[in-house]
Amino acid sequence: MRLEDWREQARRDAARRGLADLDPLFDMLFRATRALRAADWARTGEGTGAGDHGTAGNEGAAGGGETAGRDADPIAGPADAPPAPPGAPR
Amino acid sequence: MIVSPGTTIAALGPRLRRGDVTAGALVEACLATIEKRDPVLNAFITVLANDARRQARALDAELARGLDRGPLHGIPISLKDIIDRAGTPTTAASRLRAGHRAAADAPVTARLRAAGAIIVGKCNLHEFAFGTTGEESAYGPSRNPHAPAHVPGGSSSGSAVSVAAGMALASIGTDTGGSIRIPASACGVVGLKPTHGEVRAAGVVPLAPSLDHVGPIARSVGDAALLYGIMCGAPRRADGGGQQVEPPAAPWPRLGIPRRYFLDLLEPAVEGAFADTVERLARAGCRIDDVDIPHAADTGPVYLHTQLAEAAEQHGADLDARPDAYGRGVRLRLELGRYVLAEDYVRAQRGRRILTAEVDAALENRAALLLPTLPIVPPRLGTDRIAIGEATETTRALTLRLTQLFDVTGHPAISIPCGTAGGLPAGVQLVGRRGETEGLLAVAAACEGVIRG
Repeated sequence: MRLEDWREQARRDAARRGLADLDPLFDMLFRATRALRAADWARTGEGTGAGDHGTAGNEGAAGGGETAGRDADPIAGPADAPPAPPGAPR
Repeated sequence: MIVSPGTTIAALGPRLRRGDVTAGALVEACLATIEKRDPVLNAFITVLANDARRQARALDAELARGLDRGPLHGIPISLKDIIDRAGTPTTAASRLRAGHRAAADAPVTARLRAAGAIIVGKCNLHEFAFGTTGEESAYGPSRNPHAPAHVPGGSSSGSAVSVAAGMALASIGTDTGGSIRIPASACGVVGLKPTHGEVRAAGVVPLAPSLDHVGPIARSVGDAALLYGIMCGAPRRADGGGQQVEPPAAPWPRLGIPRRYFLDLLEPAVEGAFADTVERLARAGCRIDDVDIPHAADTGPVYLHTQLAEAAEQHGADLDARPDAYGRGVRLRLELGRYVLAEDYVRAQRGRRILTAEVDAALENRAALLLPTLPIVPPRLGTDRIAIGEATETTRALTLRLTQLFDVTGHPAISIPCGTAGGLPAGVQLVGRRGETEGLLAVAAACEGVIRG
């Protein structure tokens, strides 16, 4: 999508949703997107190879909130007392 | 005074074990400071006084019996209030989370508690960690302990304030664009963002999962290393000691300054503090040269398209169901993310791969990169835009400018105090190789020793 068309459509949609305050933020994002698309690597296809983008491990990184990953850690203890140290009877 | 401005966890360890001080006394000292200073500083959303006292009694009894959980045994710490602690609310500083109560500890909380840390409270933050000043919170703004009219930095604002003011010996924060390092710099303490993924983010309210990092805020590099080791699940030593960080053996490690882009836009006071730091390190024998990250100027657009899109995805359902429960500014930025086009998100991920390779290359044959943490002196509350020379930028863009690249690439980075700029704390940032956070801590310990003199 052309950026000018995107900005126009975004403004119309935001106004319809009562979010006209987004206007200056659209301008900021417009400038950032223009810069992103103008980067030399974005125009040449550099960096399209597979592989990670610099993150190591990613252990639990996509999890979060109060429901994520609860069952994964064996050392969680009760709320009102210090959890038992390793080796202590539970 | 049990917890004076320079008191560290490492220094308290022998005193606790000799019986010169107790966990109960440490908790009381922190609670007294909270009572005295928090009405102005507003670092805490929830203070867990009774629970902390109960845990201190139990931990003191354990030490008396000879049961030693290690270097965090009996140490009062705080948590950013997006990290679950069983039985307490995790508010994320938002009205949206009213009534929440965590069913269980986040794994990182569980590890710290099992190591003997005492959680004295849950700290204020920029709502949903989506901001860099600590001003937008349903619980009111936190304030800088060195100058309450100024921001403490964010988003882990209350965490850094609590450590700097002596309300806790350390805190746990999160960093998506700089949210550990920025407030650490502004408040004059140490903030570590480990390599991405090293510390589990489960049980932590996410902002942008591919950028989110969990890490410690502490009063020294050594204390940050102790916390980091436990947060990662490092085995504890049988003698009660913990992971120690030792400065690298001589000769000094080589550091690289990424001058272009990173030093292009600095307030003069920050420029002076950084130059003094470089000079001190060089005088101490540190080998320092310039290094280039060719596409560093693309960092902002790459970060923005990644962070906005991922945050909008996390909050989409709540934005539809309860939009008025968000603070106005945070709601608007989240809504903005819904307009990021898929093709531009994908483009940004390509940029991340290029930037990651460039930071890797800059670290070849160097132990770390060296740069300021913030390009500005912590501004007064309510400052939206700041002029530097002929340029005027938003406060948000400036505060993120020197930190966000290393969230984009996942490299470990640490901010350590380097004196003052404009009368307020300044920080210098060290960036290490991916997966080598311990090596970064060793270099940081060496630099800290020189900077502190």
